[in-house]
Amino acid sequence: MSRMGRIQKLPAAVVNQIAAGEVVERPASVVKELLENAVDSGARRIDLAVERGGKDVIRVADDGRGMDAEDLPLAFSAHATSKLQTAEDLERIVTLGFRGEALAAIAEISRTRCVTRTVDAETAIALEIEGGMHGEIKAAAGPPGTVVEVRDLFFNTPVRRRFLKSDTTEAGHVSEAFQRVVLASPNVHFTYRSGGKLVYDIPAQASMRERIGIFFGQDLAEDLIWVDSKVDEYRVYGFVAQPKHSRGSSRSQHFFVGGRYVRDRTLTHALTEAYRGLLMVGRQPVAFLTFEIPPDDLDVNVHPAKTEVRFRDSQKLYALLLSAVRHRFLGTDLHEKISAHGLGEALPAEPSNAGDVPNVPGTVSPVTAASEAGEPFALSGTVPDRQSVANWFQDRPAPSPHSAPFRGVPAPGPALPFGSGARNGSIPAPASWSMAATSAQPFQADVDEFAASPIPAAPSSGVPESAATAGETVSQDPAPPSPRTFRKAVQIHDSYLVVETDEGLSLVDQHALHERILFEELKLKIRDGGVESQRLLMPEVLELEPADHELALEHEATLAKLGLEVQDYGAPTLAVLSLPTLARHVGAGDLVRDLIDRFRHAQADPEPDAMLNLTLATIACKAAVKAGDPLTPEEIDALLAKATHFAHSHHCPHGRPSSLNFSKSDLEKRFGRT
Amino acid sequence: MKSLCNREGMTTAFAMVGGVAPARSPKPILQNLKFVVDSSGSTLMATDLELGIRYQVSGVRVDEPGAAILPTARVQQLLRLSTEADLAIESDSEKVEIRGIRGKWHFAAEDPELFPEVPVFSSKNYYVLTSADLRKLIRRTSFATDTESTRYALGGVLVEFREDSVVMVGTDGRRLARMTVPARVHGEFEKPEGLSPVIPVKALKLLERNLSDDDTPVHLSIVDGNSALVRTERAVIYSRLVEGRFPRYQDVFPNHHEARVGIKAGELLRAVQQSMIVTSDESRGVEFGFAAGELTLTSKSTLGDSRLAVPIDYDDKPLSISFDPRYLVEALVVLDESVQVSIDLVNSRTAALFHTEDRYDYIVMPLTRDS
Repeated sequence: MSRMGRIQKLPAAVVNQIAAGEVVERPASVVKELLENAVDSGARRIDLAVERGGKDVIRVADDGRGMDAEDLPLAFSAHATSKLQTAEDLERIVTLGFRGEALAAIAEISRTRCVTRTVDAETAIALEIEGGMHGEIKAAAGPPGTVVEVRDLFFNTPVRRRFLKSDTTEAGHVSEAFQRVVLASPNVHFTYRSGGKLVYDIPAQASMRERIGIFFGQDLAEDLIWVDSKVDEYRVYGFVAQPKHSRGSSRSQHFFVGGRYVRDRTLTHALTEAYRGLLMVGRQPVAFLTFEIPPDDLDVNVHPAKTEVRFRDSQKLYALLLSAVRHRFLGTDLHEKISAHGLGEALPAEPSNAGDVPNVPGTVSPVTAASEAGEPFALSGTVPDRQSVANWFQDRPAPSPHSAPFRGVPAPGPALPFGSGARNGSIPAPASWSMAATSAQPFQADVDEFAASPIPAAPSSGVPESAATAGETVSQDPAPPSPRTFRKAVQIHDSYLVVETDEGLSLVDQHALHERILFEELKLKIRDGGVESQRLLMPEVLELEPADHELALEHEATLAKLGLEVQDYGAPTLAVLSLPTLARHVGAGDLVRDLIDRFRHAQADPEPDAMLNLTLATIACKAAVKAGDPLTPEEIDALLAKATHFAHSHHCPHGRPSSLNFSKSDLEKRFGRT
Repeated sequence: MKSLCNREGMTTAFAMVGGVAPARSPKPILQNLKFVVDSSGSTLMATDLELGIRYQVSGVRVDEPGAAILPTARVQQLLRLSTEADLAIESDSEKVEIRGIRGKWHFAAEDPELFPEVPVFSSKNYYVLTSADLRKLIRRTSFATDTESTRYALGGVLVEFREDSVVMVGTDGRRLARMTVPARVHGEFEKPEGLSPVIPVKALKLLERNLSDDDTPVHLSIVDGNSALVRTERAVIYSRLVEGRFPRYQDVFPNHHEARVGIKAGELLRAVQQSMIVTSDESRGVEFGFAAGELTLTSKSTLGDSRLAVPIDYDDKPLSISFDPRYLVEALVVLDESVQVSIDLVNSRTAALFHTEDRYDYIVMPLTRDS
């Protein structure tokens, strides 16, 4: 018996058990590893079956390459992998797995049976491992491919087993792992059975949108907006959901890098920024986005589970994502639509699954249409601004980066479908159009694609026009995406406006709309040199909760920037010395308390800019006309006229929709006129 | 009760009194007016319990003393549409009859005894000031109040009684107006106790309409520390005081100034009004640039911008300060065009004091713009 404290080398089995803890946390981790192995094996069809949420049985069968008698036992020993040979290979990983840890770890803590057969082999072979103890390789029956069956997970680590949650919860995690692999692996047929019941059957040809529809519902699938943008070797494409589909957490943000589901704070943050002002506070956008990054710029060897990756240039990725999504929003009608039969309007076109979305592992950096077309505005080494992204959308073959591609000679190509009615009728149709310009309202969006990128009237020197600067906010766009003209409007219930539009009919929430308008105006004002502030003759003294008092002082500078000058009067008393004139309808106490509340609920380290926006939203909300306020016809006209000036007039700053739209054809359908 | 009333006299009385009757009330009888005829004089009265008025109606012939409850809006309409010179108003326990030569109207009768008593002016000690002065006090201060304030009693005008004068102060926390007029004590001068009374704006507006612009004496008294009574030539107005504390306004008066400018009220008013043209609700400020011999007013908003130069008598150091022009206009319109206004300034962040020879002080806090 060895004394405590003597250092000794652990037996391999213990090492494996400890290591296993990192890779295998719960049945879902096994599912993820097995599915990824199956994808790596080049399978066209992968079947997953679990019992009791994977606690009892996890079975993954694929029709991939399989293993021979030599490889099979190696597959289950630590750091054995077919996926890389030298350390240099780590620099350019193109497979999902590579560490050679997973199977060994799983085998260590379960009863595992693997049946595999290569295409050439005459019979299959089988290996059983119980708690890391390898059995004999035996001949078995089976088709080409591999079946791995993991039973009694954690049977020899009872502590771990006790920490597992209920069957339903674990099954939920398994589902999630399954979904992530399925979404990352197009062109593979997946099935998933739980407790003998078929849960999902995803045919190989199902598109991304269809897969999303199967997992998350048709409603969501119909409200997806296609995003595709590329700067240098970096590309992002996929779907983001309309703001009305939001979630309480960022779990519904699916980022795929190298065919792998990853979580990344930078990306989440970029996405949140892009949706800023479109979602209610605390809501998170839904997205399914694939990133193509040169393998050199990516380190996936951060953690065994590989949901964390490191980017060499995360700022670039941030800017790419932010500008891509923002730009799409500018060109997209985000108004809530009421459709006649619960179906969306014509769905945006998207690249067919087979060709244009090559995110099969192994093709991390494919050549895209855009890169073939050349990148006249790729500002290498700088943050891509909105203008360059906008330009990219209407990109077409251009001789060189210095030849101002759109203002010159119209290239051969189909005329624009909307002809002379469009603002810039002479612009040649971009080559990558069908991929770039997709929207629920193609016509409207098309016009706006151009509006977003002002075209110089006369050819000038070779310097690329880049009017907008990086970081400029969306609202400052001179041309709103939906220049709706309002023709007739009436107020109902002193709360809503019924408005005739060119497209049909809009129901407008007067408060939400006015709030948005005030919000945008405030933003403009702040940009134009500060908020006007009325100083008070007598400071308004507020008694606050001690915590609130502290928070208010902490954010004193932000408050001051908003024209709200506060002074410590000794905790928990605060003196307000000046108030923004815009908030004159709001009492100082209300305003300060509301803002403090927002400071509290803001993210852990809020950016000053974001705080400013929160504050503006508060002021706007308080100052806006309320539901129940009767409006005169002049007021209604003024309100609607202003709405057309702002890009985001379809949502209030908290993200509630400000209007519901009925198209003329919807109305006709409902009345049975068609 | 039986009376014959001159229609015009009655119409005037209704115009003065009708506004006090609430349109809706948990006590429905308050929505009516009470008309009392008596050989010693006929009175039309209304109250919402916070505010009350007794108005002496002229041109009433009393045939049988008594009282009647008249539905405000309907009788007012009748008086307006009728072309008859006189209308008989009679009532018994069942109905009220209003009768002309060509028509008659019956209204259901209500018991006049159920109408709450509107206080009469019974004070022994009160202040006497001229109707014109009281009107001036009200006009120059009541606009600066803030009826929304919950923290202070800013929904009215503070009244301070001195031995030889009455002071009124109105403020909304951003600007403050103070006016002093001479007054005479009738009876004994009572050193005011406790809080200074604050008379609600609504009462002051009613009072203002009852005041002529002449030397007719008006009597003002505070009763029991909770209500004000004013007796004018024809009316007695009662009002409960605003509850709550009025801020220590004396503290906000600037104790020194760096610069002083003189300008005629009318001239300044026109300049400010012209500069307001391009201000908007969101961008209100007009910047006042004081320099040797010239005042430059500039404004800028999303609507456009403007610039206006006004010659002034100024030789202090150049100074610029922004105001919400509305605050200035509200004060300047109640002044005579020819009144000379002096402006005391310190810097762009502290209060500016506008004052006149006739003891009017108006303090305005500037607007600032941090960028």
